[in-house]
This record gives sequence, C-alpha cells and structure tokens, in this order.
Amino acid sequence: MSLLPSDITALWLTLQLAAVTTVILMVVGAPLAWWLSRSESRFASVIEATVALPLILPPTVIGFYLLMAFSPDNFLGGSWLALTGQSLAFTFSGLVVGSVIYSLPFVVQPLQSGFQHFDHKLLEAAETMGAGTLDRFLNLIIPLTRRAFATAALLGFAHTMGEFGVVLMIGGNIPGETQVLSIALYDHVEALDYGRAHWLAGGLLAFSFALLILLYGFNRNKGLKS
Amino acid sequence: MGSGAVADTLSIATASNFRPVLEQLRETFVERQGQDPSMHQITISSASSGVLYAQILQHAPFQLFFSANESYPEKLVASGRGASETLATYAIGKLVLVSRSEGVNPKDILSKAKRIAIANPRTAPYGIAAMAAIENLGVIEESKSKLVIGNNIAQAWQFFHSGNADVAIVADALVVSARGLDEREKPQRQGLFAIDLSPHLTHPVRQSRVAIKPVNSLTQQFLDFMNTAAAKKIIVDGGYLLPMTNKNLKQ
Repeated sequence: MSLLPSDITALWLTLQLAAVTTVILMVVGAPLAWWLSRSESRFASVIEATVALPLILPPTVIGFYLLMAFSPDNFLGGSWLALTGQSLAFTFSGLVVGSVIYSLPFVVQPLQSGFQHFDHKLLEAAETMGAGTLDRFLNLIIPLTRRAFATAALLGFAHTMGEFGVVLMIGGNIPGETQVLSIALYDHVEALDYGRAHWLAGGLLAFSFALLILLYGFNRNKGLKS
Repeated sequence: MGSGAVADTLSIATASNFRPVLEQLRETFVERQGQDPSMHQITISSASSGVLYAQILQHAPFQLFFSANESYPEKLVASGRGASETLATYAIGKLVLVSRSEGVNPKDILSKAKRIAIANPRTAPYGIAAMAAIENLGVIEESKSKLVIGNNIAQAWQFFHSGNADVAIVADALVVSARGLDEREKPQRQGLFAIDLSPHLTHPVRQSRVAIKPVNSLTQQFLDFMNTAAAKKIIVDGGYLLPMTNKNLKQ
C-alpha cells in the first residue's frame, strides 16, 4: 500500500496552491504590512481588523460568501467569466482567491510586527546617502527584517497547505484542479479507506511539524535583530 | 422537569435527499401525537448515506437510519447493529437532470453543460446513480472533465442552485422542496427544468431504512406512523414513489 497516482496529483496540486498563494501574499502583504506598521490613522485599525478576520471567522463563512460571489449571476463571478471565459467556483483560480483571503493574516501579521521593530533612522540615513525607494527596500528593509519575511512565507505556505473548509465549499472535489490533500484525505475517510487516509494524514502531520521546527529553529538560532 | 416519565429521544440519520420530506414527517408526527412538541426530542442529521453508515458503524448515537440505497441498511442488519424487523424500503427516488435551459434530450443538455454537479459516487448512492445515468446516455467521456462533486446530494444541488454549476443530477425531492421555497421567497425565480432520468437507469433508486438496536418506543411509534396514509402522502408529494409491494411494511 503506497500513495496512488490520484494522491500524488493532490499533493502536487496542494504544493502549487500553497506556492502561488504565498507569492501573491508576499507581494500584496509586504506593502500592506508596511503601511499598517507606519500609519496612525484610525482607518488603519479598520484595515488591521479586516486582515485579522480570517483568523476568527469559521471557514464556512468565507466559503459561503465566496460561493455567492463566484456565481456568474453576481459581479465578481460574472466579470471573471466575461474576462476569462471560466467560472471562479470549482477552479484552481478560485482556490487561489480563497486561499489568499484565508491566509492573509498569517503573512501580514508577522511582517507588520517585523516592520514595527525596524529602526527608521536607518532609512533616513540611507536616503540622505541617495538610496532610492526600491534600493532601500531591497538592501535595507528586507535584509534587516528577513526573519519576519521568512516567518510570513512559511506560515502562509503551511496554513494554505492545511486549508479545508473553504475549499470544501468552493472546490467541487475535482482531481487535478481543486482536490487538495485535505479534501482527498476527507474523501478517503468518508469512504472508509483508512489505509490511504493514513498516508495523507501522516504525511501532512510530518510535513507541518517539520515546517514549524524549521521556522522556530530559524528564529531561535539566527538570532539576528529584526 | 415535571412529574411525567422521561421522554424517549429519537435521533434520525438521513440521506440528504430525504431530509426535506423527513422534516415534514416529523412535523406531522409530532402534531398527531398531540403532545407538547418540546416533549419530543426528535433530531435529524443529514449527510451522504455512506458517511452516515460509517458513523453508525463507529457507534454514532442514531436510533433510525434512512439510507438512499438498500445495501447500507442491509449491511447494518447483517452486522447485528440494525434491527432486522425494522428493515424496509420506504421510498423509490427519482433521479432528475436539472438545468436552466429548456430542453428535452438529456444527452444534449449534458453535452452542452459547462459544469455538471453530482453527489460523491464514493459515498452517495445518488452519485452512483448519476454516474450510471451519464454512462448509459453514452456521454461519460466528455462529461468527466465537467463533473463537480458535492460532498452529498444537498451540496451538489446547492452548487446548481447558487448558479455556480449550470447542470446538476440530483434527487427530484430536492427540486420539489426548493420549488416550494422559491415560490415563497422568490416567486419570480423561473427557468428551472427537471428531466426524469429513470428511463436511463438499469435499477431504480430504492431507499431503505432500519432502526438501530435497541429500538425505543418513540422510534417504534415513528415507524408505525411511516405506514399511515398521511405519511405516505407526504412521501409521494415530496417527489418519491412508494415501493410496489407492501410485504415489507409492518402492519
């Protein structure tokens, strides 16, 4: 008894989803976290609360609203269909949309906390020495907050790997398209195929544990100020 | 609580397709008992039959199981968990193809469909029936990539109802129930077309029930109520046929 092709497909799909989601979240999340760490406007706390919502909302709430929004009868689903000829529900793109929302706080919060500890006098110094915005970001902010970046990326990736409820509601359980590992596992359990379920459950457990050990080891040993 | 005897409880596990009808049956049953409805503790849990079967094997606290096939209740009797004298076919389900475009040929509708929502064939008898119908219609290869699998038939129906799938193959009972709701909530909602797929099935969807041992008196009363004309009318109105013979109905 070993992994069957359909489980390998689910594994590969899950890794792709986690990777795409993490890249999008790092690109979107970094400027957002920077703004949140600097802003003193009251509006910022509304945005901060919005970012944190997926932490406490049941995934079924997100799944339900997404499913409604994805319907071609509604604005988002209708526009997407007109643009791409595809629906958002039951597609990989739809899962990416769901995962970006679902994992947003896991990327933004570590980055924001890293940026809050960043010494802004360094930026002013660099500016007086003629460093441009991109230069300052790439050569000053990222190296000095790399722990926060690593934490954000690892947590965003790991959390997306473990996504279940949202995918269950918007995915449609399609092999190679939306049947991620957690869904394949659920399917095996419900069909009483415990042998295959053990493979996926054990694998996910080991992977998540390894990822967290990597994360905490990194944060503990590379005790760089960030 | 008061002076009366402790009321029995009845937890019913039902295949998702039968849930709307079962809720009506419960309502009528409680009314007929003429007692304070709060005296009765009848709860209904729905999922795909395979999932409920697995839960009952794992000693889930259900007293009555309405399956969407005959084999799960039979297996429960064989394993000793089901009470054999309560095993009976209670309804014959109708598999329908629903879409938003008018058409009479199910093959054409499936060929033109973008997304076909069905229940999970691994755990739901209606999912198996849907796959069989697609196969018998000769469009299995072109349909495979369009299939959207609901966790149970209620989710498959909801994928269609929310507009995310343009075609679904579900139990007629769900369509009947939703039509009732839509008439009340969205009288303007139109353009729902259901085609009976029974001619394209080798076997009808025969749905059996069984009580889980030990059978308490409330469970027995509910089973007796299932044999009444009123209960049968609710089942028929809900989109089912009754079994042809009454040999398995306790009288």
